[in-house]
Amino acid sequence: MILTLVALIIPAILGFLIVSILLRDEATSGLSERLSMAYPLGMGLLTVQMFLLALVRVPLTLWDVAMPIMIEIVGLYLWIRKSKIVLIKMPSFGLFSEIFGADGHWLKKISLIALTALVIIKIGSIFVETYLRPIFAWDSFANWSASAKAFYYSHGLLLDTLQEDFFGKGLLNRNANYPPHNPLMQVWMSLWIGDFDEVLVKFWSPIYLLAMSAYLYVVMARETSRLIALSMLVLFLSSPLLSIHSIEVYSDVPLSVYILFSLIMFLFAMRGKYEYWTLMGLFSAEALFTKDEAPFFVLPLLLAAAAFFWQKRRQGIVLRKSAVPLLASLLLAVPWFVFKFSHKLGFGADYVTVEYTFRPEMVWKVILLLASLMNFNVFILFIPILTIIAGRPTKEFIYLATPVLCYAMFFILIYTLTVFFSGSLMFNTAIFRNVLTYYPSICFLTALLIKTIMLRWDTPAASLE
Amino acid sequence: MDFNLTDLFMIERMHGGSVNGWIQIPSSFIVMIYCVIISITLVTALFFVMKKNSLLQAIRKSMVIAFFCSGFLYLIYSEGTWYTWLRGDINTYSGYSTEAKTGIFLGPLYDFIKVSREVLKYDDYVIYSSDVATRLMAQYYLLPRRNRAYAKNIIVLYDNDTAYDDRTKTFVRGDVHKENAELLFRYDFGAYILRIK
Repeated sequence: MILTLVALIIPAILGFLIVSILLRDEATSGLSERLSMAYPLGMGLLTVQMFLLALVRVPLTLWDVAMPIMIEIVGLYLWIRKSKIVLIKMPSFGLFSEIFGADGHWLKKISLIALTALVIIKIGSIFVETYLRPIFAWDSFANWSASAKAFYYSHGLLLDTLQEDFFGKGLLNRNANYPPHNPLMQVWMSLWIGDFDEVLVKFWSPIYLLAMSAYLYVVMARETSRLIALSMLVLFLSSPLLSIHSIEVYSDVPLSVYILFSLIMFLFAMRGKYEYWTLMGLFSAEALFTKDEAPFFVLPLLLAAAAFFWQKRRQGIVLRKSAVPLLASLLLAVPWFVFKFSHKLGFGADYVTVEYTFRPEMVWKVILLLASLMNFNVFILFIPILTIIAGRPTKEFIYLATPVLCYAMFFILIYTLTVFFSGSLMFNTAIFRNVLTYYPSICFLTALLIKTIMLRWDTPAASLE
Repeated sequence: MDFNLTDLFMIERMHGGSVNGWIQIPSSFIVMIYCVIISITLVTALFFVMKKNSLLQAIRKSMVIAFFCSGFLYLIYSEGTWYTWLRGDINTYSGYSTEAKTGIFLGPLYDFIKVSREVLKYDDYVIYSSDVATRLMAQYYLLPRRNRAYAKNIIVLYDNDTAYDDRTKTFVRGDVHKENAELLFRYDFGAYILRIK
């Protein structure tokens, strides 16, 4: 178990150091925000690095994989020391001050305590459940863990084998098209554990949920209030599908984290904090390295960023400090796409056939499924209602909501226009899983809408623009 | 959605007996949530209008209240199911090693797989089973040993199309006809491992 912890802490340290360097001149982000960003960022960089090592035929052994990471950690730490960057900021403990402070209504304090307890119990239960069960879902075996096992035992990505085995092709029902972030995380865990442990290799999954929940809370609390943020977080965590995916080695939760984080980075970047453009690019690149759906979010996000640059062109926005770091950090995803295209790997599962149809009735089916409140509490039901009653949306909201809407519409299009997705697929499963990847972003956008609505409760709309 | 109004007041548990089962919320609960949303919106909107708010302001406030109220109702329902599953899994898996947990999850198939790992050592095999899921599951747990059409070891897991004659040491499956097939391990009549000499 200690080695499992080591495997989880190392990428978090790497990510934390990078976040500290990137946000060195940024005073508003607290320690909890930086810690929440650290693990997803570090884990993404780690797997990209493992991928690059494997491409140049360095064996994926503990020594060969961990040593460069350790050197990077030491190097970054020395740089931080030399540049006198504040590594650990004083935590604010705002929630505790609000609960135990002298002012504030007792009912609010009790509510905050109860909600905090609910969050801790829920996330704790997800950790317990992760520890109880071995990998149990069929598609986890087939899509992710089979290749992870094969990569781990072969100390590589099976690049120099028979054509039929190339990159794990033909392993059970493995789809060689899928990006290797998930299997490589399992390989990393196994390298430290010393074996492919069907329980312990999963532990990166609840950490993603923990990081996402913490960050979502901090950002929502800053935008609204602690009470609203905690309430929304509790509701967010009640999604059964999110809970199940957080205890299993699926890729949907990591992708949802990267999508959410890219979106939040975009929000901060739009507010003039230039440091966040780099982080937005890094999280977007990591999303691209996680699942094949990601380009259909990242491209609209980049278009939204381009529209933002165009709109602000007269206000002296410094492209050198915004567009350049954004595009440069996206280069992180380039090796994967070069590999993918040079080996003629497609997008999506191998068995997906591209045959077009036109079935508009599928839209209604999707609406009915989403209105059935099956997996996402009442968020999906309320977001269009709240958008309408909030009145004229803020520009910031439009920039943030557009990529999410485009991403959601992409799925609607493939359900409507392709024979495979409108017919042969396990339709309900696919829809709910696809929605799961943008469900945290929906929660975040809902918080922004509630903020707008609350501001307009007693204020005329025009004064907010 | 398939609404069933007759059981509106008899809310069932979320379908899916455990984490393994697929999640399905009964229509009675969905109807209840919608009723709660509508009634809370109407009552609170009326309240705010009476408190001299404009209709738009009243609707805004009432919708936010309805969001949180219905959300918490959903939470009580879904978390009730989640913690029931958790209790079940604590009873089933708690205190066991990973190997034992996998055995509990997989059942008798895992006993067969454990022996297969010892018998095969690190050699590849070809596996036959009428049930695709069983075949793939066995392949997963036998990794890094691979399923190869030309392998000398043959694993049969309840396959309707195979026959093995113990006396003549002959294995037959469709057009495949192999002599000198030595029986390495037999779990029961339909599950066994052979090696072609």
